[in-house]
Amino acid sequence: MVLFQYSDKKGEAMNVGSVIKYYRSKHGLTQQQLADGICSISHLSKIESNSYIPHETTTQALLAKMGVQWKKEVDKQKRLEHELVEFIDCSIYFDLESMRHQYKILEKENEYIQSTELVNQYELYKFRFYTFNNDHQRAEKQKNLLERLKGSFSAPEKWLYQFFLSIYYTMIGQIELSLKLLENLEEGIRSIPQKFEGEYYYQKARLLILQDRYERSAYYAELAVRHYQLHYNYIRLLHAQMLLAINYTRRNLFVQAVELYGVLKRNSQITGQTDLYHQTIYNYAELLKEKAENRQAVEQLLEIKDKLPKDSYFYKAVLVSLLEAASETGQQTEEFINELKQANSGKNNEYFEIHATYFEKRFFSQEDLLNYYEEKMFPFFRKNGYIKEAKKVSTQLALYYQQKREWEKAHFYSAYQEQNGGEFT
Amino acid sequence: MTLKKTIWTVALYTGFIGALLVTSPALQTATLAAAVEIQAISPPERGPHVLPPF
Repeated sequence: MVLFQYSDKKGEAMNVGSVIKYYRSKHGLTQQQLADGICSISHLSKIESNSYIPHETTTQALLAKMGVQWKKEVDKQKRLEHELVEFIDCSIYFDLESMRHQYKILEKENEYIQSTELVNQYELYKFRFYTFNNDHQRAEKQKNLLERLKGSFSAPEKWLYQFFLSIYYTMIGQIELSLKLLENLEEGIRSIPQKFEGEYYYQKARLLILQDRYERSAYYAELAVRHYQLHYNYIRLLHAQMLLAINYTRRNLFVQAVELYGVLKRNSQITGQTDLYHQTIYNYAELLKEKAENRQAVEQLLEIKDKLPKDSYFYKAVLVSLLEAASETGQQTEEFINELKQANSGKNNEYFEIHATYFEKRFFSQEDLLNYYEEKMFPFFRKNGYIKEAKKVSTQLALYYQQKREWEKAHFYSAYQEQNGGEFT
Repeated sequence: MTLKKTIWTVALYTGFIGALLVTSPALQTATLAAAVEIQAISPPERGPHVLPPF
């Protein structure tokens, strides 16, 4: 979707002046040399600054002098516009592989695009492309470039810029700022470019779930689902359904969540979305654990464990989840502990280190484990905002101190639980 | 007579403004926002979950 179509009648919206200027600079000609015998220098100057639309014969004569054919030029622009439309569609339909391919094609023509009216949109979608790729450095550079260009943006381009900026802040973890930008856009909700409606709802639902605002998130996720269904946007539809499934799990709506995970497992496999399939299994296992169906959770996690790259964060997260479920069922866990230690040996992430040590200590004395809870695990979880984990540990510690009749400490740990809310139903 | 007319005018206007408020999207959003605040107090009990890509 190019927001504004250009017309090739007289080349008016094609910025013919910029094209002439582009070729003149490329051929190293002065305005005088080019204008000689065709028009006056001041006339050419006006043409190049796009303040005057020349007659078709003048355009043809100027371009012909540099060996450029006008008709071919119009065709070239049409082709580039088509490539740009492809690039944009790939971003909307989350077809990242094709988007990378289109990017390569367009980047070859980057210099030329700069002389056309496609430049703003191209630069805008490049910004989105870099955020898709999680390329922080390039995205930041692009943001600075767009800041300089934004004076020349049309109304829809301004909207897009704010929208992409919000995604950029999501990428760098500034969730509040990101949400604020989206909320500002809501005031002009009627001016959303139509194809972006689903994407807008989706990003909003995603940000709201990060802030634990589940009801509102579900409202937007459902809007996104409806929009993606209507526009046959299958991959994004799966993403929006995943948001809903997480949402339902967190709100104890297990029946709805199970149903959605069933759909997600099937459809992510059919569409070849392997990463998404693995993530679905991981999230589904979390749900099974909540339902105390730990044996099934172990089965699910074992299915994906060996398919993941051993040095990835996700692999370690799967191992921790597996250890949790397996220890509940009384299954052997040594093998998984060793795998976790091995995977964490290079990048030593404290969260995983704590878990590996914790599961190891479970084999030894209770006293030792509780000391570890108190000295290492509880302070770490509390400091880093792992609420669920901190609550689990504080429950154990409260019980322990109650038994030991150390009331002050027992009170401290049970008060922590209460302060942070019980089950929200 | 004038008093009667004033009372009627006030009553009609109040009804009209009331109806406007009920159907206003701004008010609906406000109600939605209020519901959200209750949820926001609740800490994440479930998970961790892997979120789909942005």
